[in-house]
Amino acid sequence: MTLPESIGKLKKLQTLEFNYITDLETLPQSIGNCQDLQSLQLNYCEKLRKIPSSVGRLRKLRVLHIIGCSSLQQLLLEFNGELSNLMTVNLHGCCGLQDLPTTLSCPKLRTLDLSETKVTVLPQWVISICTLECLYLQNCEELLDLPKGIINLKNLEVLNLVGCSKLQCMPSGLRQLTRLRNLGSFAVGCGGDDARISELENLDMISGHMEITNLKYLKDPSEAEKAMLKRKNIWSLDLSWSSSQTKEELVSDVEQDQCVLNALEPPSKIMFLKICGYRGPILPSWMVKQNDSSCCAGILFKQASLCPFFL
Amino acid sequence: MSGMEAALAFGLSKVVGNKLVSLVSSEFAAITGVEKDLSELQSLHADITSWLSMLHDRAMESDPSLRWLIKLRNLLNDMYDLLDEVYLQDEKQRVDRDHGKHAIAVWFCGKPKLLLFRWKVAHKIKAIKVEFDAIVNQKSDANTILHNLHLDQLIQSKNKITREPSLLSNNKESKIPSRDHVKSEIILELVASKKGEAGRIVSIVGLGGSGKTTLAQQICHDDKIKGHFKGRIFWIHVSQEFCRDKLIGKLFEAIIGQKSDHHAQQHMIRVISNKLSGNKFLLVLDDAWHEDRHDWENFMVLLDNGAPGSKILLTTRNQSVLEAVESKAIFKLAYLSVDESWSFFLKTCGWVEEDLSYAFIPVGKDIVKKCGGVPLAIKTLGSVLWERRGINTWRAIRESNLWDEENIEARVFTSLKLSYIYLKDHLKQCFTFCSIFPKGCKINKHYLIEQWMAHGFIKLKKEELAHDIGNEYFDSLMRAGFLQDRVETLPQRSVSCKMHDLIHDLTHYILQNEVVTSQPKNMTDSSQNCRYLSLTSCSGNVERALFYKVRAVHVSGGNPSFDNLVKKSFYVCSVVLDYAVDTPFPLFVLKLEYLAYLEIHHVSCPKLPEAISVCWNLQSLHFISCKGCDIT
Repeated sequence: MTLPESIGKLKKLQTLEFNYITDLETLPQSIGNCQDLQSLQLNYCEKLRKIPSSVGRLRKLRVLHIIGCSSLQQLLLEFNGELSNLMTVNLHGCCGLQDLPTTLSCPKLRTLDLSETKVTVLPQWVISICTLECLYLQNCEELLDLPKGIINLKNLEVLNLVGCSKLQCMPSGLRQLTRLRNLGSFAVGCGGDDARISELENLDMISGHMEITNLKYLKDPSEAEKAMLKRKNIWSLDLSWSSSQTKEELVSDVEQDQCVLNALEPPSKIMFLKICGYRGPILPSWMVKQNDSSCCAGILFKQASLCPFFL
Repeated sequence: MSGMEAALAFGLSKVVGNKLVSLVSSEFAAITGVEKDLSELQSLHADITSWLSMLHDRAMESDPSLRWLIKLRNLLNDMYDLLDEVYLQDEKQRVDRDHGKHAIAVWFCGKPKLLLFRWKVAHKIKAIKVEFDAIVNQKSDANTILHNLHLDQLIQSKNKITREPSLLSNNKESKIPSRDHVKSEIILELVASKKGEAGRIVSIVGLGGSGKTTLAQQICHDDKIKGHFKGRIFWIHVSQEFCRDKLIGKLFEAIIGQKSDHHAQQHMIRVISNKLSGNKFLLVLDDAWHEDRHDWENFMVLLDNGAPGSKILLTTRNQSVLEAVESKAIFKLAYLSVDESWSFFLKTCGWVEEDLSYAFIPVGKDIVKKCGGVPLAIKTLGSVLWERRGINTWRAIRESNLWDEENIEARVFTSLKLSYIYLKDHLKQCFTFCSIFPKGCKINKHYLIEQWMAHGFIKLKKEELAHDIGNEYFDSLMRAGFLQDRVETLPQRSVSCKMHDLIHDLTHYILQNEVVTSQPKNMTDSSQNCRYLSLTSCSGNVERALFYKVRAVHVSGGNPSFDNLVKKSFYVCSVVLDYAVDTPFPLFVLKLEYLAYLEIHHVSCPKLPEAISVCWNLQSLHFISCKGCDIT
C-alpha cells in the first residue's frame, strides 16, 4: 500500500498509525506538511525502507514509534530542524537498523528504545539530552561501546543492557546515575578507565533482573563486596566469569573465584540464580543459607566443572 | 427512566456548554454575524443548566411527572448538532484560510454562501427556542422543584479520608474471604486426576457481576495451577454469539499467540491439535451462553487431543449451558452475606470502618445490603460513595425508589444506574460512547481517547494536552468500575481494557434508540434517532434514513455496504471498520466530510485514494493489517 501526496493536506492530523502494513515502503514527503501531527507510528511494516526527511519538520511531534520494521536500515542521515516536543522514540525490533542520524535535536526526549536493533554506537546527540529517563538497549548484539558522556544523563532511570553481548566494559562514573532502577547488565572491564563493580554500591534502586559478566577480570574481592548486591531489589541474577558469548578457556585462580562469589551475595529473596564459569572449590556460605529459603526457585550451574559439589 | 434521562441530559448539557464558550468568542462568529445568535443560545443553555442542577437531587427518582426530560434531552441533542455545524464551518474556513494565506476579511468577500449559513443558523436557533418554551409551558413542576431544594451539607467524616481506593490496583488476592474457599475447592478439582470424562469440565455459575471471571482469573494466576499445567493455560472469551469458526480462531490465537486472520481453518485445527496433543492443559471458556448440545460437542472435539488430566474451566450465568456441555463439577457462586458485602465495600474503598463517622455507617450498610450481595454492584456503587461524601447524597441514594425491584437482577442493575447518575457530568458522554463497542471487545485506551476527542467530549484546560485529560477521564472510568481488566502490552506499551457485560447493557439502556446494533427491519421514526451505529457481522445495504443523525460508526466483521449514502455532509465524526477479511477500501468514507477519526483493519488497496484529503477534519488515522492488492 502506498499513501498519496494529498495526505499533506490533512492539516489537523494529530495521529497517524500504520500497523502490520506488509507492503508499505515509505511515506510521501508531504507528510511534513501535517504540522499538527503529534504521534507517528509505523509498526511491523516489514518492507518499510525509508522515512522521508520531511519528518524532521514536524515540530509538534511527541511520539515516534517505528517498531519491528525489519527492512529499515537507517533512520535518515540527519534531521534538520528541532523536534522540540518529541518525548518518545521507539525503534524496538528494527533488526536491520544500523545507523542512527548523526544529528538530531530533541531536547525534551524522555524515552529512547533501541532494543533489538543493530546499532553499534550511540551517537553524540543521545548523551546531550539531559531529560532522557529511559534508554532501552537490550539485545543490541552489535553494540560495542557506551559513550563516556552517558554518565551525565542524570535523570536516567532505565539503562537496560541485557543481552548486549559485545559490550565489554562500562564507563567509569556510573555511580553518578543515582536514579537508575533498571540496569540489566554490568560487564566488568579490564581497562583502567572502565567502571569498577564497586560503582554499584550506591545504586540501590536497581531491581529486577541483573547480569554480571566478565567476572574473571575482577581481582579484588573487596570490590565485589562493595557492590552491595544484597541491598538491591534484584530477584534474578546471572553471574558469569566469561563474557556472555565466548567460551574461551578460563585461566583463573580458584581461590579467588571463591572469594569473589562469596562477596557477591544476592538479596535473600532472590528467585533465580545462574552461575557460569565458576571454578571455586566450594559453594559460598550464603548459598547454603539460601537453600533453606523457599524463595530460591532454581539455581543453575554451568561449566562449574571443578566444583566438587557438582561432579 | 426519567432519572436516567436527567443524568444523560446533564452530561450532554456539559458538552454543549463547552462548545458554546469557545464558539461565541471566535473570530468566525464575529465576522459571520452568528455571534448574536450564539449568545442567545448561550442564555438559553444557562436556563437549561440551572434547571437541571435543581433536579440533581431528584434525578434518581423514577418519576413519571418528569417525562418532559426526554424532550429536553432531544432539544439538547439538537443544540449539540447545531453547534457542531457552526464549529465545523469555522474550522473549515480556518484550514482553508491557512492554506491560501488570505486575511480573514478578504476571504469572506464574495462568499454569499456564508450569508445563507448565517440565516440557517438563526433559523435553527429560533426553532430551538420555540421548542424550549413549549417544554417550559408543559411542565408545571419546575417551580415546585425550585422551592423544594435542600442543600446537601457535607458532613466531615471523623478521620480524614485520604487513602486512594484500591479499585485500580490489579490485586491478585481476593477481597472476599469466602471466595478464597471456593477458589481452593475449584483448584483441587482441577488438579484432581479422575478417570474418563467425569471431571473434565469444571464450571462456575452465577449471576452477572457475581465475580465468575474474576475468580477464574485468580485461579489461572495461582501458583499451584501454573505449576500443574506447566503454564499451558489458555483463555477464550466465548460471549453470547456462538460461532464455531470464530471460536476456532480465538482458540488458535490463545494457544499459538498469533493472529488468526491469515490462516485457513483446516490449518488452524491441525496446528491446535498438534500443539495440544499429549500435553496437559487448562482452557478457560469465559462467559458461555450457548445451550445447544450438538454445537458444543462439535467444538469440544477439537480439544480431545490433550493428555489425561487436561481440564476446561467454564463460566456462565446460565444453568442450561452446564447441561449442554455435560459438566459434572459445578460451583455455584453464592451471594455475599451482608457482613461480607460490607467488608468488601470497605476494602474496595480502601477504608476501615473507623474511617467513617457514625452517621455514615448505617446508611452505607443499608445501601450495600440493597446490592443483593453481588460484587460488581457493590464495587461500582462503592466508588460513587467514595467520591461523594455528603451524608445527604448517601441518604438520597439509599432512599431512591429505583430500588423498588423485586428480583435480584433488577436490583443489581439499579445499583449500576445509580452509579451512572452520580458519575461526574463530563464523564457521562465518554462513558455512554463505549456503547458502540461490541460486548466483550478489547478497547484500546489511546483509540478510545482519540474518539472522545473526535467527538469533542474532552474539555481543554489551558496548557494541557487533550491526551493527558483523556487519560484522566479514562482512569476515572476505571476507578468507577465502568471499565475494567486493564492490560498493558509491550513493546508499544499500549493499554487496553474491557467493559463488563452488565455495564455494556447499562450504556444501551441509557441511550435507548440512540445506539443501534443491527439493521432495523422496518425504519421507524425512532430509528432515525440513531447516533451510534455499531454493526457486528452484518452485511447488506445500510439505510440512508438510519444514517441521518449518525455520529459514530463501528463495524466489526461482516461487510455492510454504505453505498446508499449520497448526501455528502453527514456529521459522522468517527468510523471504525474492523473487517475480519481483506476488503477493498470503503469509498463511502470519502463522503464523510467532517470525519475526525478513522480506524481501518484489513483493507486491501494498492494506494490510499488521493481524495482522502476531502476529509479535511481528520485528526486520527489508523491502518492496521492492510496491504495492496493480492494480484501482483
